[in-house]
Amino acid sequence: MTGPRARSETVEPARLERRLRLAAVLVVLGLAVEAVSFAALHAAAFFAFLAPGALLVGVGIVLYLWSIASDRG
Amino acid sequence: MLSIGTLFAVAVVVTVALAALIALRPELTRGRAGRVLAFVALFLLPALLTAGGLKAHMEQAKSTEFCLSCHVMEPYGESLWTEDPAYLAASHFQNRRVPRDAACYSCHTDYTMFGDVHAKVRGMRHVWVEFVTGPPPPEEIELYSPYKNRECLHCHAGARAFLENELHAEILAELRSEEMSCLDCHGDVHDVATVAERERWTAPAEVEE
Repeated sequence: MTGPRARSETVEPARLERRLRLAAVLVVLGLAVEAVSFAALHAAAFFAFLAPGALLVGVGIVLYLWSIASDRG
Repeated sequence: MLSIGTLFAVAVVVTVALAALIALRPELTRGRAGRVLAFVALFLLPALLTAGGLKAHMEQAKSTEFCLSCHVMEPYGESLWTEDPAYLAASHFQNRRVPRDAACYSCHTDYTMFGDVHAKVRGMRHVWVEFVTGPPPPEEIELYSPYKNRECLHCHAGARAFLENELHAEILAELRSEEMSCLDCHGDVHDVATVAERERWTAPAEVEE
């Protein structure tokens, strides 16, 4: 098949996978920061947990949800 | 038996491994199993772990060590060791009228239905001030609102020493209605401006934690 529809079917999976990869990287980084934040009982550790830790995880989750919601496949 | 902390750590490692797998091989998500994997690794587990982590951090934030980790709070921590028993915070801390590992939180939370939530919102604000806007000097720190007798009476009302004090019995109605403040008579609490000049109580080694 040729034309716009065929191009959409071949391009969309790659775009979706790029977004999922980015979402996964954000989640991994966020969880790593969150885990490290438990090494110390300090206000700075709490702050690190929230930002960037939880913020990265949150952006990763939103990106993942947006990716699958906007996926036309 | 695995502790909650160990289970939490294992869950973080598993989630990071699964999310890393998707980051390295996103083509796995083309199949049904891969989509389920992505849902678990990029939504379900991270959301649960972050919520659990936030709860754990909030619990840790009740500790005296946490409150005193901000430089500006150090004089307040030092005031707990003042030798003079007239100082309210020191006498409560040294006589274990409040748990030493939750001394600040015991007196500075609201004993109401949503008191914990209010205290934690205030704590978040304190963290913001400490790291973003910058705190005032210790001696200029003030409570957001006048200290309520409710927080004192949460422990003291009904306590024998409190009830058997004739003066307390006479003014109990005024205390309950907040017409009189406990601090009208017991006003020396922290006084951080002079704490460095006051004598310090040193707990015997066998009882200090």
